[in-house]
Amino acid sequence: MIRARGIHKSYRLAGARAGELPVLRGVDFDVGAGEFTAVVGRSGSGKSTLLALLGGLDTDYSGELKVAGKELRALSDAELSAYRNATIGFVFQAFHLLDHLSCEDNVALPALFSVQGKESKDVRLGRARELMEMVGISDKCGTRPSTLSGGQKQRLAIARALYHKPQLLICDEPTGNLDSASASAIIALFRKLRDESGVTLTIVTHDPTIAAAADRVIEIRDGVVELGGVNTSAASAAPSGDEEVRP
Amino acid sequence: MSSLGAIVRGNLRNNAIHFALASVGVIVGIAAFAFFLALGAGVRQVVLGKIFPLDQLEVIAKSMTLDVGPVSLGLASDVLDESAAQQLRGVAGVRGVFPKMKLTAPAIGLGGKEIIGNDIRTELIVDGIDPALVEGEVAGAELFRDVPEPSKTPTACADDSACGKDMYCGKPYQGGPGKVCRDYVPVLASPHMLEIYNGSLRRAYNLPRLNPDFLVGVSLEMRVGASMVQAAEKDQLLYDRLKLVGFSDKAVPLGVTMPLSQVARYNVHFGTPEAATRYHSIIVKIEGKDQVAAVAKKIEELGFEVTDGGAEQAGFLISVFVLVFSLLSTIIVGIAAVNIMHVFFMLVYERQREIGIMRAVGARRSDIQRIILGEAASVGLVAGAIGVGLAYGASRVFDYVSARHLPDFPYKPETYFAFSFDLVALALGFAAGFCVLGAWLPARRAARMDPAAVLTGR
Ligand SMILES: Nc1ncnc2c1ncn2[C@@H]1O[C@H](COP(=O)(O)OP(=O)(O)OP(=O)(O)O)[C@@H](O)[C@H]1O
Ligand SMILES: [Mg+2]
Repeated sequence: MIRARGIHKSYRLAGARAGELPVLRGVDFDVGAGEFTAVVGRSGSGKSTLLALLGGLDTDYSGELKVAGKELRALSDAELSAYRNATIGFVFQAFHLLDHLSCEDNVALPALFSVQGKESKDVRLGRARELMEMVGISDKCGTRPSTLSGGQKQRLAIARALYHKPQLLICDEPTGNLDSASASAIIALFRKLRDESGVTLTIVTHDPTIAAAADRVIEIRDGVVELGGVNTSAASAAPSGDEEVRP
Repeated sequence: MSSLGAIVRGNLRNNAIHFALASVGVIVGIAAFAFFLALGAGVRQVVLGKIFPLDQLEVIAKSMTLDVGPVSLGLASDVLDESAAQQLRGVAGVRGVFPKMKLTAPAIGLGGKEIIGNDIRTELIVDGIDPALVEGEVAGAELFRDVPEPSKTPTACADDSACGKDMYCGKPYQGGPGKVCRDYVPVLASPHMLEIYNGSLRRAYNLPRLNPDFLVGVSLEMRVGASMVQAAEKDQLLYDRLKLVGFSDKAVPLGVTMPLSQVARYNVHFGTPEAATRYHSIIVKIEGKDQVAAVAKKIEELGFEVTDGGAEQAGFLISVFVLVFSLLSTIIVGIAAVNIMHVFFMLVYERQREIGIMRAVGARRSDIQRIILGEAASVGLVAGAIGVGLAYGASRVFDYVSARHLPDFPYKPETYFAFSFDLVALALGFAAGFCVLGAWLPARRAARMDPAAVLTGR
């Protein structure tokens, strides 16, 4: 599903510290279809940067990065947008829901940018309700996201990410803003998703429980992948730089 | 991708106050734009439609003069004949050709008692036109027809009742004792005269206001060959009674207009038989107003001259007026567009996260641009509609004030404005266009924004 070889990414800095800030310096890893991978690393190590590359939000990198057989850097804006729309789904730490839309409209947002032609409003809302049911917030139909709890918001965001049945779900610290009870419910949801739909999960996390639930853990340290083995125990899943674990 | 409309509508609702403030300038500018454009169009309609009708041209013979030192010799006669009319008929874009003939002998008119209480005696300017020129155009045009040759053996009479319908009992055509039955000579008058009379003359002389319906049917005695200038008087006079059958802007502005055959009859009497086809000008009706210039050019190429009744100058002045004010309005709208740009830059900045989310779920850069520009166009259309509405309201107030508080003047119109569909469409398009223009750079910035930074941001 994912094949990364020698990925280099640096940010151009402006102002007083003008120059290049290298973040990824030769990242190699592979993720198979249906695999549940946790990406760990210190704050600032480049995890979000890697996810932005994987998600086609940023194509300013060198090296080889193929997702679902496509070299992302080679895609046009329209192709990348179609890729974000249908091949992958995003889940963010800060949920990123649109407060002026209803919960269903948030879930159905990807439909508005679908290249697959237009679906009728009924079809869109039907699919949205189905997904809300699946993530366990069917009682929130018709409300606005601002009325939901943190855990419910993240479920809504996951429902949105699943709208077009993506092959790959990319999550950036999905439990970072949640209390532990909500977090474990979300983790359970991820497990269920992986088991039932076989979606590939790539989750950036500081949360040891997610890392423990993953098939494997990738650690980014000093711009390269440090650890890419199969997760055999919870201990090996924990970030090795244990001084940087976030609350 | 019309589903983007839902997003646009949602955003419009969300940012209604921002947009309302941003569009004040557009509203004012478009209101001014529509107001002045409608005023220009309305005044143009009055000036070109009533004062100088412009779907016709008046053609005269080219006055050719040869200047030899201080002496200038007239080379060509100043009349047109049937062959000239034939030539003009062949010009592309010409719908009809109608000769006009001036009375070449002096004439005086006597009458007016029924109207202003006293008979007046005045030199008459008499023009003859082809009755076909006014056919179906003015009320009473069916009465405006050729008069039969005066009978050589007229019926003597004592009063009108002894004569047929539409006839009167009066002096024989060539004068002499007794009274005989005669045909009226139908005449048309120009509404200009009525306008000038009602608008200004009657005030000076404290006379009643005249209404055209009241004047139709009034008759006037005419003596052809007579003049108040003794020296111009002919040895013999011709007598006729004129009956006003209607008003037409085809009539000579000051004077009376009768069927051409009648004027020809007088001119032959006081001149030669050739006078029957010596026209003084020819009215050329044009197929469309926009062809006037082209037809005028072709006619001039044929060696004729086209008289400029002032329409071109008036049209030019109106155009300048409209241009100046629409330029001013454009500047207002332009400044408003800069304001729109600021607001959109601010909104794009405020909505970075939302734009990032849309990008993350599959919006292309062009979708983002379209959403922002769609919002701008909608704001522009709404602001434009409000602006046009304001302009229309202002025009009604203006017309009302004019009707109630301004004294009559010649050609005082009921409305000074013409709000055409095209004008409204233009104003709306203008408003939307400027808003889209103002939002262009912000939309580009929004489309190019890096979604990763806002979404994965700490
Ligand atoms: N748009 C950007 N411009 C410049 N520098 C950036 C940008 N985004 C990230 N960086 C820098 O790149 C480095 C990696 O950032 P990134 O967000 O990928 O870290 P992270 O591993 O996700 O950290 P965290 O765990 O805190 O989320 C950091 O030093 C950050 O300051
Ligand atoms: Mg991060």
